[in-house]
Amino acid sequence: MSAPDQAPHPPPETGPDERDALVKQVRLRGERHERWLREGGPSIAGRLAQIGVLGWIIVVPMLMGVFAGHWLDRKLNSGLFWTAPLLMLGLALGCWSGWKWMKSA
Amino acid sequence: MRLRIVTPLAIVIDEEGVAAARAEDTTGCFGIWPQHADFLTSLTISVVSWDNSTGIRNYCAVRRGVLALDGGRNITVATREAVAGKDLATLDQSVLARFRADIETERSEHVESTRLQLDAIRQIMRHLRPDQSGRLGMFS
Repeated sequence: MSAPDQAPHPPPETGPDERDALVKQVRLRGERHERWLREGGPSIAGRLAQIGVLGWIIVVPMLMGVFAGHWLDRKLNSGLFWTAPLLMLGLALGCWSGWKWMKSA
Repeated sequence: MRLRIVTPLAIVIDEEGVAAARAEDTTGCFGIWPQHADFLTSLTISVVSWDNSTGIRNYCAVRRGVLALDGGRNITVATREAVAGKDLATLDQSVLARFRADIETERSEHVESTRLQLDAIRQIMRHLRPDQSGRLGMFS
């Protein structure tokens, strides 16, 4: 991406330039349309798998936190001192990585 | 529905019997069916598409613009530049061809206007200095 294409008001005529925003956008839509013709829209199973992955991304760090905390508590004989904070830490980590994954997907 | 796409210089599309239309503004792509609520929005650099009365899809690339829908059936797009096409896969070539044609027109217009200017200057010179050109001037 070059800077002139992202300017809010590009010049109306930039010549028979392959990098003109109008040509770019038309090509992009053409490619999308072609891909849609070839592959169709995302299937229901695909969507469910996506949601499932998101769930696991959040849950797995929480479970790891709980297990690690429980093991530490058993070793040090300290009740819930390690389990609860590590559970929270796992939740935060899970939400954060889930957010990142959602943005990238 | 009736769809019109106009630029400052031409009416690119004026079509009656449009079954459905799609366009795109900054919030994304949207579709319009008959009896849609009236609204006004500004389009991005994108492709407007519509199904005509025989169900064939047509496309038109627009360089921004304003889309107005009134009465649930009149769609008007006012844009700076519009290139219509039947096929989305070859629309980019149409746009490039239009650019080239525009440049060619501009070039020939430039040549013509320069020629006109030179002619005018020559005429003035002839009138102001009739003795040198050997012809009768305006004031003699």
